[in-house]
Amino acid sequence: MLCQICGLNEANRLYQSTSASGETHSAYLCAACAGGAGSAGSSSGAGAAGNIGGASGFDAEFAKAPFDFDLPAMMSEMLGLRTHRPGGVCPACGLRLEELSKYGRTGCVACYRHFAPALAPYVRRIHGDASHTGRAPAGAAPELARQRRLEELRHELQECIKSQAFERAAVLRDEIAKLQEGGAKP
Amino acid sequence: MSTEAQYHHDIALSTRVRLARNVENLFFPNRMSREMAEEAIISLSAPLLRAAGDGFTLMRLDQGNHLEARALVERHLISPELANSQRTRGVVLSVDERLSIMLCEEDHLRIQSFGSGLCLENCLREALRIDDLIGGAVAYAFDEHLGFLTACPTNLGTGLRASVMLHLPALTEAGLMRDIVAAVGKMGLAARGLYGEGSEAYGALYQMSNQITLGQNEEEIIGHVSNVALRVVDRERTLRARIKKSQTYEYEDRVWRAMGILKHARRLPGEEGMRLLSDLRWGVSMGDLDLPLSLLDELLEGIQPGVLTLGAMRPLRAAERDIARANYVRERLQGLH
Ligand SMILES: [Zn+2]
Ligand SMILES: [Zn+2]
Repeated sequence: MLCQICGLNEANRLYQSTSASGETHSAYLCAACAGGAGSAGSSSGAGAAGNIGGASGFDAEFAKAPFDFDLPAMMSEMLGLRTHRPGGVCPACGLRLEELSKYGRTGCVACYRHFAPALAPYVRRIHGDASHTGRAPAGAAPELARQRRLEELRHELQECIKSQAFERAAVLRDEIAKLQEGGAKP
Repeated sequence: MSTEAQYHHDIALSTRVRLARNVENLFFPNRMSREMAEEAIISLSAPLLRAAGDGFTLMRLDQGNHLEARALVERHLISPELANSQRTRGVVLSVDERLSIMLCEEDHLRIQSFGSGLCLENCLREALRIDDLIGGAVAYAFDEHLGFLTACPTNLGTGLRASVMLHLPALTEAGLMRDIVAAVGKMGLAARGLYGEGSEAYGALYQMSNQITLGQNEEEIIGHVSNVALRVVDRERTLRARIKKSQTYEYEDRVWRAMGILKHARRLPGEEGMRLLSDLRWGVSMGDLDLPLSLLDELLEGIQPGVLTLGAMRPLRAAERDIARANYVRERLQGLH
């Protein structure tokens, strides 16, 4: 079963929580969405970690939620439906934004470009603010290496300018120009 | 250090590395027509079937072979999603069954590599070898920041899921599994029962795998999974030694009782079989019974309902299955102690 909040990860267990008013809420969640999972339990669940009152993390969030919290609304909010126009459709595969938010699956490579604004916060929630550092397909390797080197150099250049190391900055600037030129060639 | 100790066979049953890949100019499987999937299966399996050495064969899963599919799921060679999907799909298996490439599951390719014991580096090396083999023939969907593009954003980046199957009877017995699951969760690993869920994991078998696939490179990911798994292995091993020392009779009775029942029972329900084999494996791993661990791991897989039924070559009712299960285990344990 998929997590009832993100609808993406496999839910690893049923989380339960008791609100301040004594109502019990439960939902199947993945570890990522459950956050401080240590305090919620599948069988003992409610009352496991003194979640009434001084609750923290997941329990506190849950306690705040209305009794029948609106999962579709939560997911829509996560996917940025409120800030992006509804009814967006991938021009290549025809996937609709509603489908993306409902099933959490993209339909093609173009979806990642087309739905980029909606997907970005989602990806950040799952993976943090990270960029790919692993291997690349054989054909993409030299270009990727160039891009990464450029990023490094630009970063170093900023540091040099900040610390007024202008000689080093000049060297870096040349190197960056040379690398950029290299990319322009086929 | 002996090989056995290096791979931590006493506690680690097996390792799996999976890479998710898609082809750039094809819709992902959930948006594909039957014809498109048909073509993709042929073109993606071609470089594998051409390659010598691994003895690859292609198996179609949409042609009524439900039982074979079920057995492959129970043996963890394919995912339940692949077995149960209504779509056009297939799997390429190597002759030694250490490589399984699922075609048109959630992604076009799910390259899986298996090994026994804790052997993440070997599995990664093998998976990457297949990745290169296919990647040389097709253009992968790739983005410089998001990495390999996958149908589900949870797999972006490396597309790598590294899992280790651990046998944790002592931690289970001590009621510590919930804490362990929470602790490894905080370290970015998902832990779940291999058969059954959570604290009801049959046979005290657990799978631990990385949650995050983007931002760390392949070596960093498997290094981290390995470190966390080793910490769990360490706790289990310490606890096993403590239980053996402080509750010698309980421990010995449990192990030998399991041996007695498994060697003589005429009916063996699945749950009981899992529990007894788990006890027996515990005793073997402590060096108290002279059986190969690999036999235990084989039996834990062999007693699963689909695998048993496939072996019988005819449909079995539950009661018949219990008899078949008892016979199967008895035969394998005959002459051994
Ligand atoms: Zn979730
Ligand atoms: Zn699309």
